[in-house]
Amino acid sequence: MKKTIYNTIIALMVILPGCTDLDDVLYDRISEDAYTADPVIQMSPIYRPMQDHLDWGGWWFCQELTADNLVIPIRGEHWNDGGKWAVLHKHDWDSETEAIQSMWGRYYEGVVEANSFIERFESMAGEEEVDRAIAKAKILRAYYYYLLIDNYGDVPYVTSYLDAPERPFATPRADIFYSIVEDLEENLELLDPDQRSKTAVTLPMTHALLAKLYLNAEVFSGTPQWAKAEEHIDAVLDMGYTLEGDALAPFVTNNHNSPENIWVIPYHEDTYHGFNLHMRALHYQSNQTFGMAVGPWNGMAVVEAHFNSYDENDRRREGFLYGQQYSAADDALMLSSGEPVYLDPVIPALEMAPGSYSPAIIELAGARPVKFEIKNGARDNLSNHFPIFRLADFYLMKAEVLIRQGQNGDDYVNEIRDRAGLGDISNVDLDVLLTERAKEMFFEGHRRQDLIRFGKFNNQWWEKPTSAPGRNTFPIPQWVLESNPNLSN
Amino acid sequence: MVKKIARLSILLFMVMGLTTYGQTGSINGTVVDAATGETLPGASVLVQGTTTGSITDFDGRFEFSAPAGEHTIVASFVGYLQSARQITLAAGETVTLNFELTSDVQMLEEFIVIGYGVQRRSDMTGSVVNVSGADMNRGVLSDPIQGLQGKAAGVMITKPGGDPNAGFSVRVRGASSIATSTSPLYVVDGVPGVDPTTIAPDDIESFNVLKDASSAAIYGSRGANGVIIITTKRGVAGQRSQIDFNTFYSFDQVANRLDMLSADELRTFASDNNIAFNDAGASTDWQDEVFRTGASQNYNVSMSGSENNLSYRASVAHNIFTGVVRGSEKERTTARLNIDHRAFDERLIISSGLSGTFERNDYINYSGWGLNEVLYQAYSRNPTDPVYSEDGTLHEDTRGFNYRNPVGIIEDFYNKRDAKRYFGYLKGDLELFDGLVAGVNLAYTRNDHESFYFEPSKEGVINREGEGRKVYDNFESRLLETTLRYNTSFDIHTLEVLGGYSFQEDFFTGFRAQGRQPFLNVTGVHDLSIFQDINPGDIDSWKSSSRLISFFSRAIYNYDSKYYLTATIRRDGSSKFGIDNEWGWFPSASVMWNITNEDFLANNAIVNNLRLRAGFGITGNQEFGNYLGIQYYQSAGNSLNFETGEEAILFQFAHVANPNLKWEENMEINVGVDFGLFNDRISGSLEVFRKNTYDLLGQYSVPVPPNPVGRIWANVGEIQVEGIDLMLQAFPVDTRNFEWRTNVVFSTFSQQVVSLGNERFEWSRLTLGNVSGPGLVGTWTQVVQPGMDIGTWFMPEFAGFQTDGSFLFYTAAGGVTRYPEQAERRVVGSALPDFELGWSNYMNIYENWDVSFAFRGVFGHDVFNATKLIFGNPSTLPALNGLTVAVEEYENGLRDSPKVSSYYLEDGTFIRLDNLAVGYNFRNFNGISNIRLYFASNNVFTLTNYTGLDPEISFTGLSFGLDQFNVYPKTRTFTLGVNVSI
Repeated sequence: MKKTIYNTIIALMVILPGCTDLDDVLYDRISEDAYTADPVIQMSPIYRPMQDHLDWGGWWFCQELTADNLVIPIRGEHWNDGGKWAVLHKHDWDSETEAIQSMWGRYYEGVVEANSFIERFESMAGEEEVDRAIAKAKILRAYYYYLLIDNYGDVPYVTSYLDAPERPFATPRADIFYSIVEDLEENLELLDPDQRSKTAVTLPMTHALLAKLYLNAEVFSGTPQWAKAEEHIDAVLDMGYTLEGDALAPFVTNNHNSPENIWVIPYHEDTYHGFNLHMRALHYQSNQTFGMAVGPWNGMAVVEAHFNSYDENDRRREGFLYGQQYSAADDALMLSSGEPVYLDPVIPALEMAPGSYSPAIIELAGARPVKFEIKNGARDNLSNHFPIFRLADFYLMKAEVLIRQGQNGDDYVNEIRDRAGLGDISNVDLDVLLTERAKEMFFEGHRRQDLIRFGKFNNQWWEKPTSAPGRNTFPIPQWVLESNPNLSN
Repeated sequence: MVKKIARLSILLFMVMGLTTYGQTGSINGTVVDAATGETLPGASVLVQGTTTGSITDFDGRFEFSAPAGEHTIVASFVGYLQSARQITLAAGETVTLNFELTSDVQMLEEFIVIGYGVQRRSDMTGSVVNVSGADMNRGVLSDPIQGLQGKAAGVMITKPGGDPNAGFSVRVRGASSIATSTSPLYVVDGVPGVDPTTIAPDDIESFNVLKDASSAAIYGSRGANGVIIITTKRGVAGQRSQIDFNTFYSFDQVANRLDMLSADELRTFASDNNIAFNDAGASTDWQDEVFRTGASQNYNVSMSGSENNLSYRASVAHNIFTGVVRGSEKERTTARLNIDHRAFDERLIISSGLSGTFERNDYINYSGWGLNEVLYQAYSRNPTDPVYSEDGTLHEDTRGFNYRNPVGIIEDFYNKRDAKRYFGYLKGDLELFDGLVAGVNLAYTRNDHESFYFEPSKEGVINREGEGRKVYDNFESRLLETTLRYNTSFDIHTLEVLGGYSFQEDFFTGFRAQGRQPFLNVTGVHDLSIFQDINPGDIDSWKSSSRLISFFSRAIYNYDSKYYLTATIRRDGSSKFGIDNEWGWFPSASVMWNITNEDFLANNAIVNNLRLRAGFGITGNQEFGNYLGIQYYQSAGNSLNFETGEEAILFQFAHVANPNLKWEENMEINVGVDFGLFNDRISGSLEVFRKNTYDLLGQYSVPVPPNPVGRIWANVGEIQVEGIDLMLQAFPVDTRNFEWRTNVVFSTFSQQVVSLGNERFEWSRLTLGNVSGPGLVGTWTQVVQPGMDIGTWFMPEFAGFQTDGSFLFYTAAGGVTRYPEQAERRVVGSALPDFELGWSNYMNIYENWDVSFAFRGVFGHDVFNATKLIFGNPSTLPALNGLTVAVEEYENGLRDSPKVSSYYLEDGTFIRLDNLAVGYNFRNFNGISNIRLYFASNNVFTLTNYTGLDPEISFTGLSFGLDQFNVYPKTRTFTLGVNVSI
């Protein structure tokens, strides 16, 4: 008996210490080599950063809140948030401003996913499906670089995952511009000419991207290329898209089949979150207007001058919420103080301090943007697709390149005006065109780029002083500088 | 019943005596405590070298027969020194012997538990604090660790507020980490990693805290935050059977309320200042509506004893804590069974323990300023709003963003958890030959947590779609340890050597299902099938595992009981570490000079104990997540396949691989002196330490490109903690009628960030202490930056008010500004206390009275009063309620929105009478050996200048000291209890 116990214990002591296996065992995660081999599924991560365009203080905020159409004013004790919204409006941002920090990582995430995808599938090149997928990955990569040079100017240009330098240097904006234009033009040929998906990379989408690049060629490279821009605008106009009859139709909740939209982000309240700008804009009680089960946050409003730029009869003015507000049952909404919920397009100041303005003024200042339909019972995420490229934009771009090349663009401008219920105008010049662009493309993330191209981004407006030098691009974010000493602002 | 058994056994012994020997005499007498004169029931009296003898009855009397002749009669009792008498017994004669036993202070107090063994206190070389169960705080303990609060120098135990469901944060000698846990390792009955809440306070025999790295290094990569060893009570060989019953009932009251405006005060404010205001007509004190008198109950029954080679202790404890905020409650039942068996002449000792803890929690939300946060809603709610409308339904109104009736929140929400925690171990120690013992320890832990959450759908002013969620979260741990121990002494050398191997594997698994839009609210979370909005990500499950494999060894040597040396080494391998750093060494060494045993101090009239100690050790911290060193794809939620337009699931990298990922390394030097004067009438120990934690784990940025994600987990920074721990114990009065023991513990430390970068990774700083509230999203108040102390308040400095009532702050240029973003951030204070002081007192008066009380003070820390920042600002008056101070601020001209600045920083120094207990003992009462009735009070009073609810916020982690209207009110507790020992 004793002996057995002795032996057992000694055996245990000898055998058990033999177990020294420390390998990780994965259960709910997937190791790199066990991931799927399907190129179509593997493309998803390249598209992913698009989802964040309208959220996380990223791209949309940098395009619209830095410009003269929209603002998040400081409303008493609300929306100060360390000044992060006000600095965007006043062009007072720095490399630690949240929105500027968050954009960078998202677009490079897309770039690196594309690089990695391309190298994974290069060995299978030659099959049509694979070639097309690689071409699409390169076009998406070009799209992200387009956003990067548009927003940050000189940035690292990396086109390989495996051979990427550990700490890349920045490449001049112009060099990247020429590289991506070349990349796009080469890969245009490889796409399926008949595909008309509004979410995938398609031939029309690629032409649209090239048109945007050439349109801004002077900003990006120093040399304007209006003819090249026109060539690709024409290609887009020739792809079978048509204008909707109603100026607000491209933005309704079920806009996924809109013939006007070329490339969209397919937001959905259940399956593809990220479109919650209405939460930031609507008044606290607007949930009663729209039968919403969630309470909006009462922040963003339309800059008064922009609101006033619309003609009384302009159909697009219905894209604003202003005046007395009503519940879905048509009862006039009241503040608990007894005052009516009357949204006044006048915003008295960028910072409305509690001592200077009454609580009602602070709360109710500014018309609210509702260009995208808010359906009855809307949630905190909308189901409207958000267009990146839309035909009306290309009408106005066509007009612009015509004017810039000394021709007349009235017809294209008037088509858009007609639809909005406005009369024709003639001899449209660049200033008028810019105003027409503001009214038609409002809220869609174009304003900053337009103002820069028209040389007006640094101007003084409302509570914004003339910008300090160098405000046409954003600084490289602080976290990026800290991780890569080869970059600097 | 018990008496009967005792009598029976006496009879049995008598019969045995009679049958064995023909010619006998009789021996009788009593056994009493030498100090108190109390009789000792259950003491054993034996003829030495035989089994002849008896156990004393309830009056301490014994009587038995023994053969005529010369005998040595030995009286013994647990916790007392043996006493022996020589007698000569003639046949037919009766000898009466009265034994006075002296309590064995040595035995009770002189052993401390160190990792994988025990050590005589006088042999101790490292820094270990021992607190016996008897010295624990008394009264209501919502967690057992509360019993140690203020008792051990350098062990800071805090809990902001009085939420029965909130745990205590425990920190040994300062923080030493950025991204990993700073909680110490708990070792329960020799098993590391056991949740200490699974132990009933009445079941605790002792706490032993391994404070310095030389003591904790035996736990290697888990020792960096210190180790708290908890030993539970067990049956002792030779012990009579004993039944204990403890119960108490206590009332909890909110100790301090916020001084909010009453309805009339708010009306006056509005009319005085001509501000339009919707007076809903009622006068509601919303704190009254959400607070209540809480109650706690405790029932604990235990039985213990020994039978032949078996000893046992079994206990069941049941606790109910009803929180002072309506809707918060905790109920906990703990059952524990410890059984030990000795065989082969005590050469084989098998010990085992089983415990089960069943806990139910009922939670409320109070951490933020959202729609469903009870405290924020109660404080901000307009006092003219009634609780219920005239039709009896809850009154709701829209006075602002996120405005909701807090009574409705309490009534509507169902937020509960059922926790079941099981723990068991089986240990065997076999003495192979003299001095060599082989041991095996097998342990198994399982914690099953089941959570329920339901918010009903609602229409009306508060329009909610409803939500329900059920979550299972399970943890499982398996441990196998084998040890070999060898003890020997020759001449004046004593040596003890230990070697061992340990294998531990942990699993985390879980499951969650949730949905929105319940078709009916009636069934709540119990029927998720009727939820009409369910998306793919609403069903989720997870599983991960980790492994820790170790080899360890220790040698303890002493020369002539004067010069001591302890050396340990542990080699730990963990699956959490990167493949290039899988194994780490954790060595330590400590020395001690017991000066008392030197000739020149022998029999010194004043100094009876003087020892100098010094130790050095390296420990690690690996309390971070699994898989941080490898790169893997993880599902990142729903997405769309842009190519096909179909719904898809996206997979992403969580972080970049780091094959060098390792533990955080903690290097500590500890020097101490222990002393005892006048036969330990005054004793104490003073220790000075410095610990440097290197390779701090953090999530660093890597360049994107080339990496697919910008995150990597890397070991980079360094923190240095320096401090002093002092403990003093004295017996100011020690007479038969009045015995007073007093303990003072003092600790102070500084903690500085030395670096946050290396040649590859760099953080310029971390911004922390985010204040949340309307318009305050993303504002921070603290910074972790090289050269600065952790806990530093770093924010705009208040420079007065502008004439229009705006705050002004200093700028870097020396001017002032009203824009916080243009202000210079300055060091304006520290949330870290200068020092902490604990003062515990234990008194025995006229034998039957016992009194204990304990003060605790925390000195010199600044608290940021964000509650005042929000509610002391008049800008939301009178639509929302505020503090009375808001009216004063208005009258003084404040007309600005809440802005973070040093204006809201306050001194948090406090002294608190943590607990007070008075007990009366009825000894030998109607056959019951002791009944103790007691009264106790916790948090009796607090002396502080702090104007918020409570200055004890939290002192752990990297960011602390922020009082943000999320402090569950601290309670004052009055307890009546009874302890019965049979």
